[in-house]
Amino acid sequence: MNRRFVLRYRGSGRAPSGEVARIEATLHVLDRAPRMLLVEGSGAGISRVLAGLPRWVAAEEATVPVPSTVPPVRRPA
Amino acid sequence: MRRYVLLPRRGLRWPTGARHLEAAMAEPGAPRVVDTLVGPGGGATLVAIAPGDVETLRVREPDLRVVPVRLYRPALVRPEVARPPLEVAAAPPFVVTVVSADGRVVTGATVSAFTDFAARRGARGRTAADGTVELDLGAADVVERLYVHGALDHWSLLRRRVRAGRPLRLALRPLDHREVDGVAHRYGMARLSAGRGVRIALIDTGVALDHGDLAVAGGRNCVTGEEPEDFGPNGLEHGTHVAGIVAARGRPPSGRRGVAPGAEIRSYRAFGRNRGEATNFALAKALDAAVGDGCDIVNLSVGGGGPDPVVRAAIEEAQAAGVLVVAAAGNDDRGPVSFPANLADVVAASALGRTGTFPASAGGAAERRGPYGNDGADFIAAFSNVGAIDVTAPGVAIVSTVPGGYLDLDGTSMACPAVVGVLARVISGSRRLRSQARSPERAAAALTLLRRRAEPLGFPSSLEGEGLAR
Repeated sequence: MNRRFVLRYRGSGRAPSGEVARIEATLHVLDRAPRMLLVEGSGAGISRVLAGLPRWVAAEEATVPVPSTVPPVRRPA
Repeated sequence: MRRYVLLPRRGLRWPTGARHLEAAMAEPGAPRVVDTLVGPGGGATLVAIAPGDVETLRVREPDLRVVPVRLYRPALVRPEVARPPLEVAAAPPFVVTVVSADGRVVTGATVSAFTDFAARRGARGRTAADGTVELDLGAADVVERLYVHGALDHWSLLRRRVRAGRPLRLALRPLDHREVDGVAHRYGMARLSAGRGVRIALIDTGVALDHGDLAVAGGRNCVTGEEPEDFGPNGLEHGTHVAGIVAARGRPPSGRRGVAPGAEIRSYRAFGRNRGEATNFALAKALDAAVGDGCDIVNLSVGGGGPDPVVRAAIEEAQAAGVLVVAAAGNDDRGPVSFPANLADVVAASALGRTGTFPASAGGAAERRGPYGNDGADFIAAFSNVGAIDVTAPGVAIVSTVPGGYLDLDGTSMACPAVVGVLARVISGSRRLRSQARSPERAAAALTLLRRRAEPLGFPSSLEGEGLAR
């Protein structure tokens, strides 16, 4: 099953275009920043691509909520 | 991908170096290192690996222990919640009408009725055009706590032990900007030049660009699929409130004044339009953008959700560029400081309250909890996370800007921008720091000054850190 992952370049400067192209050739890119790519793919596919790209880290796309400024209602009355 | 800890057969460190780990990492489909105990490969190593590859790894590297990550939670005592009766007669809704002190109805206010506050059991709704909201409380006949929040230009309201069997009419107290809230009490009426020359990134829900008290210098929308120039509010007030605490330039009785009104504020929106959540991609993108735009300080009034290597990498790179990062400790009722405030050199701020800086009827009044400090009027908010706190700052019933007006809000989200404002004043007020280029050394010097100037209020250090940021 395909999931969304964030790939981040940990070297200096912008991510090398050759390495970005290698990722793009294998994974579906949803968004990009100078040092990051938001991609869609399987966990195994991500692992395969990153195996040859040691200067990249990956994490599954995750979300954080807006901090609550009022007590949350967690259960119905 | 799941997380595992790679360990030598015995103990936490490899006696002959990380030979086994290096071998494991050299294979195709190898685990991805997330964290390591003592330097790369030198000890216990946290990795992410596809569950299907774990057995292969175990077979290939028999001297390696592969242990699944376990999650631990604070041992909080929570009362057990009894299930409601399966069949109850349909009870009429609890009807609440909200009006202003002059009798005018208040629309769009959020009414929260807790029949069991400890379990957060209750119902919530917003007042309609006639000022009323109907809440389904089942068979409950008493509301333990009833809150009204989000009524523009009015104080929040808390009522306790309310009978639910009959309609209720509540009158809200209008905000008066001459009243001194927690920020005004601690920092007074800042000069408009305070914080001048310091550029601040607000990574949040966006900031109102048309509020009379705010001057937003620029920014970027970092949400995937949205217009990059749309860095105004996403429909929520959080980011605009944060912005006002840092740098509102109004003056009572018509407006509010922030801690460092001379600082330049920039809005980096990481929360999607009308969405209450931000992705790690958007947060990291916002951090990168803030660094690229030459920001000196980043305000992260967000957190929770567990450590994230992408956000962590972006913060570390920002710090390496000399950017100071301040984050909210979190609002988990005295839970441990949340990510990313718990990262090294990220300033973690707890929320300080003071009786007398808000009406006794305001929602923040319920947040008073011990242990108390030197002055019995001061308290660390009951909701505030604690532990590895660096400093504390006002975060209870703080009145600040929101789109279209003002509100009082509670949270470590409010303490965080107060600390950012203080840091801006620290940098701006120091000729040496002001003249220095942005660098990790300058950031370290600013943090040292922040800690040295903090005023201990007599709370345990796990609650106040070095004390009140000032």
